[in-house]
Amino acid sequence: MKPFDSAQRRLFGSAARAEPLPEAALGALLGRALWPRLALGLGVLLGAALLAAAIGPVGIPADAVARILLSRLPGVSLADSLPQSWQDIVWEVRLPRVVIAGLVGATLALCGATYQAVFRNPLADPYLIGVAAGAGLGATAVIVSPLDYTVGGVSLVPLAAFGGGLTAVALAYSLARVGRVVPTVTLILAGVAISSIATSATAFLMINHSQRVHTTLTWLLGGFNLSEWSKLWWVLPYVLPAAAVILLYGRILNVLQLDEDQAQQLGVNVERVKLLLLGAASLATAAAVSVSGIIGFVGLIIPHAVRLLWGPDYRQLLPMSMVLGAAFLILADLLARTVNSPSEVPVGIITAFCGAPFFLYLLRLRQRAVF
Amino acid sequence: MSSLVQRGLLLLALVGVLAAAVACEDGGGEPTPHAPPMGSAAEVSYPLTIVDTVGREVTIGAQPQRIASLSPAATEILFAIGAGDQVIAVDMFSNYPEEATTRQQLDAYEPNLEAIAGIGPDLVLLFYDPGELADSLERLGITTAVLGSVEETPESVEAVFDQIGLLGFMTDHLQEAGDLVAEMQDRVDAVEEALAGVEQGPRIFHEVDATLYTAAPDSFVGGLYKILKAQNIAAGADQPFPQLSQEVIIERDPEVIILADGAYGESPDTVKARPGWGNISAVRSDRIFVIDPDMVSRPGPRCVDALEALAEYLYPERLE
Amino acid sequence: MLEIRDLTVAYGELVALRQVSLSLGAGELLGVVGPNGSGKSTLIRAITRLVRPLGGGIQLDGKEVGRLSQRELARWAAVVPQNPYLPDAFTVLEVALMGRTPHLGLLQSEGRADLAVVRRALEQTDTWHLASRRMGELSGGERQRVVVARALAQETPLLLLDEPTAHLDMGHQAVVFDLVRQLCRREGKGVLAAIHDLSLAGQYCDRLVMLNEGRVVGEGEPQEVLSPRLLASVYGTRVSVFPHPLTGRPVVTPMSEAARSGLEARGSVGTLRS
Repeated sequence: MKPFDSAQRRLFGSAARAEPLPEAALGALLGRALWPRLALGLGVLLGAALLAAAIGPVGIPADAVARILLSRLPGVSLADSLPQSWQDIVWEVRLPRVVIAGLVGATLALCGATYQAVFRNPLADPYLIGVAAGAGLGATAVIVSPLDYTVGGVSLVPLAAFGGGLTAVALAYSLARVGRVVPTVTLILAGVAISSIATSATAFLMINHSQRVHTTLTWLLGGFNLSEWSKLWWVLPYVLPAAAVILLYGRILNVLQLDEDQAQQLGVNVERVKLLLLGAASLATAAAVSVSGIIGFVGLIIPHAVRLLWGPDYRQLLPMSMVLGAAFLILADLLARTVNSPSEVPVGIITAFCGAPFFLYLLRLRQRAVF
Repeated sequence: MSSLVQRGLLLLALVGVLAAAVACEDGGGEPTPHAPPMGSAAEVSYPLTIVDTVGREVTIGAQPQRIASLSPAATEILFAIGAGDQVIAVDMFSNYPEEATTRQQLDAYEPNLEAIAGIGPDLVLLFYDPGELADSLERLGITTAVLGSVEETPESVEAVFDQIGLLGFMTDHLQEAGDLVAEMQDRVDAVEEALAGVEQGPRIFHEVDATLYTAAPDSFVGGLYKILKAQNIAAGADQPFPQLSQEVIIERDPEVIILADGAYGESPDTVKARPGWGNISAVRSDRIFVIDPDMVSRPGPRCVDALEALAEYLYPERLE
Repeated sequence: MLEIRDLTVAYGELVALRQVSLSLGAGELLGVVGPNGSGKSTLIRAITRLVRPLGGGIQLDGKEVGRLSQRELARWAAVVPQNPYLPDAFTVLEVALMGRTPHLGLLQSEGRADLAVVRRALEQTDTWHLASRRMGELSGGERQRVVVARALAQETPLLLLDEPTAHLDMGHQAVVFDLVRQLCRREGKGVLAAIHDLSLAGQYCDRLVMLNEGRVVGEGEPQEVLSPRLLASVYGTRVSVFPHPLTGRPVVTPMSEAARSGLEARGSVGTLRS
């Protein structure tokens, strides 16, 4: 065995003298250090949220925003002198928008990371096996149909989008299944096929109902203009449990990065884990898409950015992706509503425009293989 | 300005346009359709030549008896000036008047050359030309005129009058066209007179659909609001149909909200239920109205109906 | 410890193993030899349930392998596969720690005890000094030793090795096999190793099983199995087998063209003294 050099001795400390390793060195060796990073990420997220609450097409001074927010606490009333329109804007329009954008960003990034892990493919994003195309078809079908948008107090478009997304994934999954095994490459192919069918059907509907083209296109390109607090309850019941499940499997996802045979030989029930995690991720993505439309780029790029910054260990990659994804989408939405004021720009355009250069920059900083 | 003077000026303008068009016969200069003065006893004689809105010279050999109208506005005008019997086919959106729906149906957005040719029309009217359809039809020997593309929707009621005159000229219903324009002009004058003392009208928000698309001042609907001296809260946008941010709508506090998306389930009740909208003036004073989108955005004879309806919504005290 | 009875495995139409039977006890190093395509890898895959047998049974300590859960199986048998895919971005330590997976519950993380086990495994394979390096930076041989370390970290009574020294230089081949034999003797591990290199098999294994086209064609001590006649019929080429001067165990080399013509010239055909 080669003797340790001084650098290694410094790194391994007492280990170099073959003594039991202290806890801190263990963490350093494993590169985990999750809590400081998480704190940093949450700080960035909070900053982004506050910025987005304070800025908008309607210029409301920052201290007014602070007073309005604080007045929500029981017993506090600092905002009585402020115009009612400002209070309505901050609390009923901007804040739900920020919260929902953050939730959707976190979901898309988490699910993107999960898909990349399960498929062991750096090009995977949460729309890979059909959620986006199915949701788009569902939403378009309702928009162009003579049905009312709201039936009995329930809004139909998000419901149809949710159902469409899940149906597409279920179809892809059942098409790809061979006995009790679902080979990942086959699943990707099935997903691509289902997506193209759904996309062409959507295009067909749009062309044949051209007077609704504008509305369907706006939905498809994604946006948070119509955010309200009630929409939060459409998303949370799916996203929270799904996220909890996925986060629990962080360590197993690491093992899955070996090939499936090796993971199986290490005791992981690969097919069951794949089904569980893809199911959870698809459910959460469908819920997010139903409320925000199809916002691209976040699910693909944020996990890669986290990987470039902090490495491939999924135990930190998953939570950090959520935090950074939320911050990113909050800021993108801020741009979407201010860059062309008073008009709205679909947020999917902003994410594409801003995401690509940012990622290229990160890539140049760390030019080593990170997958 | 009195209606007589206005009418005279209009005639003068038409003559001027005719002269200008004659002077630029090669198609250089403004592509303005031209027609002899309306309501005059001037006989329409065939063959005649006009210049359509994309600058094409169109020669019509005889009075068209088999017109295919792929423009809902043109359809309404044709029926209004008595040329309805000469129309044999319309597009899917030509839903007014009732009689128009009995004609054979064609697709205006994805027109099928064979389908159109198969009907054997002697004049085809397009409101927008997707990929040289007009040229293809001409090659088959079918006379085609493009009357106002989607991007060039007439911005004013005057432009509608021009279209009516042109169609009257092309179909030999110049007298009826003149009468229609005169009647419409009278009604517009009446509205303007009733609003003579108004400095500035109420703030309005015209909702095109539930995702908060609206009509800005430089759209056709916007033009109607300009006549009504209303303050369109979408002023300042850089396109005719922008999507407004909710914040902006709340901040700019419209006094009247007009819904053109009633067919998709929006109503005054749904608007009042929107979170954050509760304190908007229009919501508090319950001045939310539904209007037929075809009537209000189609540059045809009913635009005056729309103008009158909107005037009533905006100025209930002045117009009963 | 390991009992295989009449195992038959097919991939669709192609039958890879026919009625294969063998047994392995604790502390034994069993070598599985045979030409390419004879079924060595399939045997290992069948034991770890990556393929379903058409017929026959596999038992670990009397329990049918088919009845065990994936996790239980992983606590019984660790595999060093032939050409495993290893993600470039993970460090050596992280990959080796994956060997502890069968011992950790869903909510558990690796603890000090796990690290101690892994460290020992890395030291035994001479890879501890690479602990913080990423897999993508290692040579083929270093990667292979890390995989061996991972299997050792799994702490199983049975080790299944599929060509464990294919990319290793002579020195490291010796390190690995010495280590493996030590594990058999001192810790009582049972080791089944598919080996390409017949001499290596001859030097280290307690017993050999020779496969050809999915069937067992020879079984027993190395001297018996590595006979020139059997080897010639299985491999289709004449070989020389002679005893190692120090250990007496068989060393096998293919017979070169020159040697063969020399043999014919001398007029002797057939068996060489082994």
